[in-house]
Amino acid sequence: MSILLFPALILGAAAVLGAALWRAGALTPPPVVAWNRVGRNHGLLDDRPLTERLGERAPFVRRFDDAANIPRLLAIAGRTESATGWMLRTVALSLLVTLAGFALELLGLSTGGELPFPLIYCIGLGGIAFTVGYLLLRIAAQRRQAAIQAGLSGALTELAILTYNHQMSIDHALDLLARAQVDGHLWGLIRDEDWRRLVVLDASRLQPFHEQPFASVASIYERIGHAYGVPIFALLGSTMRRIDDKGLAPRSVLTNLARAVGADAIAEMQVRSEQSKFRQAVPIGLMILPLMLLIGYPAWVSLSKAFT
Amino acid sequence: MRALLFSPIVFYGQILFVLVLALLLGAFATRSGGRRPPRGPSPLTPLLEREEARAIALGWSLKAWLWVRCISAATGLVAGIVIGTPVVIAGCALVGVFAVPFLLGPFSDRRRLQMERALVDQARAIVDLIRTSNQTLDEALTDAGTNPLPILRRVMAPLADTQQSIRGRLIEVDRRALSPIANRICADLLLSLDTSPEAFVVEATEVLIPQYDADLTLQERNHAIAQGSRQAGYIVAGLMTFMFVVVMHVDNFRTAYSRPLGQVVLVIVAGLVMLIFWVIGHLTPRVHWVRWNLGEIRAQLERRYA
Repeated sequence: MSILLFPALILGAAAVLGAALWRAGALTPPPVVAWNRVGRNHGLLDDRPLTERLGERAPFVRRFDDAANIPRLLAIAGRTESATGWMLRTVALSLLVTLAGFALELLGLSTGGELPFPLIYCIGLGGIAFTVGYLLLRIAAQRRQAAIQAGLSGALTELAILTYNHQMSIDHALDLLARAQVDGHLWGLIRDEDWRRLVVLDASRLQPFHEQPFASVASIYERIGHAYGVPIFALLGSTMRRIDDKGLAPRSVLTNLARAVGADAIAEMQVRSEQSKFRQAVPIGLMILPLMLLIGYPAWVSLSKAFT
Repeated sequence: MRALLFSPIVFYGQILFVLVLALLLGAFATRSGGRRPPRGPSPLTPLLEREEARAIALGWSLKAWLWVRCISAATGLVAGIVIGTPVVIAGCALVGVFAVPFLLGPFSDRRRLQMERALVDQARAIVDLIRTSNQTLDEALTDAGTNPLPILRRVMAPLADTQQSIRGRLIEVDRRALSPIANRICADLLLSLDTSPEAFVVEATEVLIPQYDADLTLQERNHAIAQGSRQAGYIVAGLMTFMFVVVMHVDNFRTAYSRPLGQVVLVIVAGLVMLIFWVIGHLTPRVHWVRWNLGEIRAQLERRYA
């Protein structure tokens, strides 16, 4: 055992203890604690989690937070279970896989007299099962983001029609159109204000009505766009703000927005079509595998027969 | 018996069994706590809708299309039985099931694109009719149903049926067309039915027709990409079929494949070919179209004006 191991362990334990004391506030000077108390009472403190606050300054932390924040991923994916429930279920399932590995070991031991593979592989299987569960959650979240983005982008023309023909406000028109979409992702977000899972409308504590903070629809849409990672919501919010501030006609602004989104889609399709031309060489190249196997197996059988 | 009772392996097995039971119970308990989404339509419904869309794109009825597919599957099965081994029989039957849409794909895509182009032209003609002859949108749509473009005759026929409400007729057109552009045109017309003819002409000229042209461009690009991917698929399918026939033509090789191990190798080869087709499908970019539920739009508008 290395002579440096015990000092390193002591230093590690000290670092963990120091971090715990710092998080508990034991190392904070009393004037700062007093100021925090006063500030919290007057709504002057930022109560968001540390990763979220750091994420504003360091993009790396934000990316990490986006990927590892399970409650956020669950809300984006539209799952109703809690983060704790998801974690317990995924850990239980990965433990089940690990136990299945141990059961295989037991079977091998009782039939063959020795372990079929090292025991550590069972832990690896459990790790893989957990990773698969996490990746499935991420894929579900990304799919829902893309579906909401497509749902709102595809409804801009109809929003323009409704605001012009039926003199409806944009939020009412969006409500009607979201109900009428077959896939239901957009309606799932708007229905019963489901977006409140990630968007917190916290008014200043100095305001008299804490329960119903004043927030315009434009600002809500912008926040939904940022919180759920759906840029078209933020774009619609800023467009509504411009309509309100400058007195522009909603129909022409929404039509122009729809046109811009359509042009973007065409440009994106152009890029993807150019990329796909080169990518199509991949499956043609992969064809060598079944071809080799198809010809190689009977050739190998014939050769082995000739030598025996 | 005593040795078995006190065996460490049995003890280890018992611990594993209890842990598995506890975990299954835990997973069941956490799963049953969440709110389950409402049960959707039957899983067969999207499959049938897809088949119907393919049949409509070819200008056939659903019944004729399903018959052609059944005949193709039976032909594949017979070819497999003639060749012999179980894996080849199953493989040929599968090829028979999927060969028809694969081979007729370019034709149906081209026809669907022509139909969508004609639909946009028809929408433009409706706007022109309202502009020049001072008709209402309702009358112009009935007129379009009476004198449609030839390729749209079957799709537009419900518009001429004046016994139904105009909203019902538009929903029927959408049901028959089964195309994203037709769905959008019908939804927009449904939303525009209550406007004056002058307002509709302005709206159509400024908003709708440019949007449909953009949709059409997108659909054409989509079609071009799908065509490129399909060519890669044809190369893979053609070459593999050719090599399979060549290999099965040699007696020694056929004997090697008639053994159990040979059958397993054939399954692996088929799996690899399926994997290549899956890769081709995933490398093909597709546009996500919004699909409107026109019945829901009608219900919403009626509720609003009730």
